[in-house]
Amino acid sequence: MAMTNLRAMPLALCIFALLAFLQATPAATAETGRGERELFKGQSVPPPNDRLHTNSERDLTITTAVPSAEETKTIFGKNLYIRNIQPVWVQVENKGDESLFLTPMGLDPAYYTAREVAQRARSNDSEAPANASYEQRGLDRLHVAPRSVVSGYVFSRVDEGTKSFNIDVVGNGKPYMISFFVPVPGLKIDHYRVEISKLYGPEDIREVGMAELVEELEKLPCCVRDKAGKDKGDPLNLVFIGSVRDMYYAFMRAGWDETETIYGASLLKTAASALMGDAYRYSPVSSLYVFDRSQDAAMQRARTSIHERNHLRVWITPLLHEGKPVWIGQISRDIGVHFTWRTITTHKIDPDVDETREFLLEDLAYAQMVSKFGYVGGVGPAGYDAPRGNLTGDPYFTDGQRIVIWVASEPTSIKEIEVLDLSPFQTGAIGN
Amino acid sequence: MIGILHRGVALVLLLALGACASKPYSPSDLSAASFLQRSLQQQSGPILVEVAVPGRAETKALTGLDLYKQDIQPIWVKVTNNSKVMARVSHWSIDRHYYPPIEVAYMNRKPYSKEAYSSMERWFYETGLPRRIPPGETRAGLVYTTLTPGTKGFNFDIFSAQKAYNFTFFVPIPGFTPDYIDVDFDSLYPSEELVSTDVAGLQKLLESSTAPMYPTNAQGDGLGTPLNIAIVANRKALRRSLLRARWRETTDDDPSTEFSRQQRLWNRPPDGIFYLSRADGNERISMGLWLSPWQVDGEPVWLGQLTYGVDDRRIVAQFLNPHGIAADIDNPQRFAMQVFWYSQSLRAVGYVSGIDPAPRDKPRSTFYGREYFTDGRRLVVYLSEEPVAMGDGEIVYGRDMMRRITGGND
Repeated sequence: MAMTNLRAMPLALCIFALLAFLQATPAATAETGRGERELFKGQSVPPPNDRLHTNSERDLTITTAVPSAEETKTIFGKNLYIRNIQPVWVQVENKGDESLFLTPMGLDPAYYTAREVAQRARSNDSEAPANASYEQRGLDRLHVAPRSVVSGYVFSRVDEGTKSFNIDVVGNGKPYMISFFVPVPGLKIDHYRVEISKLYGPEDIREVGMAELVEELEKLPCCVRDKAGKDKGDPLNLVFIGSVRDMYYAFMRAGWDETETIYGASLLKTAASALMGDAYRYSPVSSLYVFDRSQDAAMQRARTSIHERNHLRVWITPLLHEGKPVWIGQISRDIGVHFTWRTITTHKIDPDVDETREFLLEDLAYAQMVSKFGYVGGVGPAGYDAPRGNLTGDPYFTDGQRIVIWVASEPTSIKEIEVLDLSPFQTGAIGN
Repeated sequence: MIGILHRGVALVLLLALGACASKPYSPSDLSAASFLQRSLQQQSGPILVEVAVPGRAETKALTGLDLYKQDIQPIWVKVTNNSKVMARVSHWSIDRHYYPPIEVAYMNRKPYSKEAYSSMERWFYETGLPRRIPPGETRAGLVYTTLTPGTKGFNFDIFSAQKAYNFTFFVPIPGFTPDYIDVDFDSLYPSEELVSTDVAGLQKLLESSTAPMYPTNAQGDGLGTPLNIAIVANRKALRRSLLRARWRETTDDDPSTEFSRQQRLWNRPPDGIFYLSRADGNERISMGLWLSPWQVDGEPVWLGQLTYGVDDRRIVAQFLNPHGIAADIDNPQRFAMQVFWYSQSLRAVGYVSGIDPAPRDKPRSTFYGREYFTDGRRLVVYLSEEPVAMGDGEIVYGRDMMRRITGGND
């Protein structure tokens, strides 16, 4: 049975799905051939047309493109990325009879107006802002009249790696909410294929039912290890069930940033040099080890200062549940910096790791990306007065539970989340 | 000799450091805190929630720390779960950027000895609000939010198995009096001056010569920025909508509202001025509102100005570059529309005419010297007390009007 399911849904397929999804869509390719002359007639500055992404729904067709830092410089004559400004070219075609409004706030709730961009793009205070230049190219109309096309740039904040955004168009009736995940040129994404697809052979992967899932999860290692596999570190208190794509969507929607470790260390340099002004959002995370390897993916969410950040690392397991990959992970919340003998400086983590775990549940739930959750054991409890230590000597205390989050494939409101009682399946085992 | 001096200085420094680091931690008893007497209570189904917010001095008295100075504002919450299942509190719903208790302690560790810090950390941990409230039980504790000036307004969600309970609180904070508090709205207009109309009638009214296009200066001989927004909402709906969209209140003496307060409509300054700030910049959108004598199906109409400014106390800085950001009054209008829409407050929306357009290359000037340009549209929003999903908002004043205003080129 397990083998049948395995053949039906090999892990590689999930990975392929993501890769296919990260490439230009077929629709985008089709549009490419039309070139700028037809599609952008009348536009003074076309977007990078070889990377158009098109999505259609009902009466609406939306096309977007995200110019790289270099391309942006060519289009606007200024390095906008360094000012944390990333133009996104958007075209909305309304084929229906209703008036619609494009709401750029869906793309970025703090998007910049043309004049804000002009103000920020100045080389010095005495330089007059080139308002007209940005106003001409910027998308300045929200109203999309029936049977009309509106296009222009929306000035968003910079996202590196993959630019994930929603284009929302509202009118009478059901709003159009279309997600785009656009790779930003200049960053290589092929590492993804190399890194993950080699992890397990088909003989390693197996489908498990609920009881076996809980049993297997409780047997998984309690904690991360150092490279030598000797010392135990932070507790592995997260489990996700979801395809690569669902995982990606969920964290992007909740505002988490990728880190370079997703793609391997070579990308770090690219990201760091491309960014500068906003580098800390993507700064690297150190490697921790499970299954004798460092994390398969790392995400982070910057908070108010460089010293305050949430870090999350995940490892894909050879388990599948209902055809979806099972992931194990670790989360920590930086609350400051301190000195250690091993690494000189490191981030001080909140010792209340359960608090951080529950924060993550809420963060994903409000992004409407959780369909179910429950708890299993496996970590082993450590009380406030008898804390355990992680690899950098920080103490932590925990109730010893792992949260199991079923990542939603469709937006799910907090009213719809199922809370599963997994206690009947719990074995009391604590992972090594 | 120099060596002795150095050693002396080092000794003094060591003593000083030692004195600092040996400070004991002495919080007050939370259960006896006086601010709890101001608590507000709400019930939804089997869940009873009580909240109270300490002011700056009260926070200092409670925690021994000036948390307001660090932009941290504690909220005390008590939840009674009279249902038959576990209720799960969502700290995130109050403030997605809340601080966990131990982080607050850690941020303030410096003056304390190791032992003192240890007792401080424990106090913060033990007085934090737990997340899980078992059936039939009550839990209370503090949640550390980011400081907001003025009335503390926040949502609070509790979810259990496929069910959610949503609360909204407005808690006045001692020491901050928002401008609208002193306005007696009920006596602004005698009943014979009130004008009743309907949705279609409001458009006619706003586009007629009866509707004021601009406020003036106090002498009545200079024009202010155009009245480019009309809001239809009762006071509660307006307040809730402003909270959901994170508009901030202002006080009468807020220097950044100086020019807005010089403007007069129906012989008075704005009844309330609110603003939205950029998190990553110093720009802000300001909205001055006046209650009008008009009512749409019994709901009051507010006329207002949406303008763009720079959050800079040096007012003059805003006007050094008259063709800069502040000249654009249409973008703040677009921004405001979306903010109400995304925060689920928009019952209906539309645009009407009623303002003389001023093109970018021929900007108009106000009595206080600010130049602006506009396409001449007036935004009309109907706000709701209860959250409205984005798909449920209605577009009123349809496309014929859009064409008429924009000459069909929009």
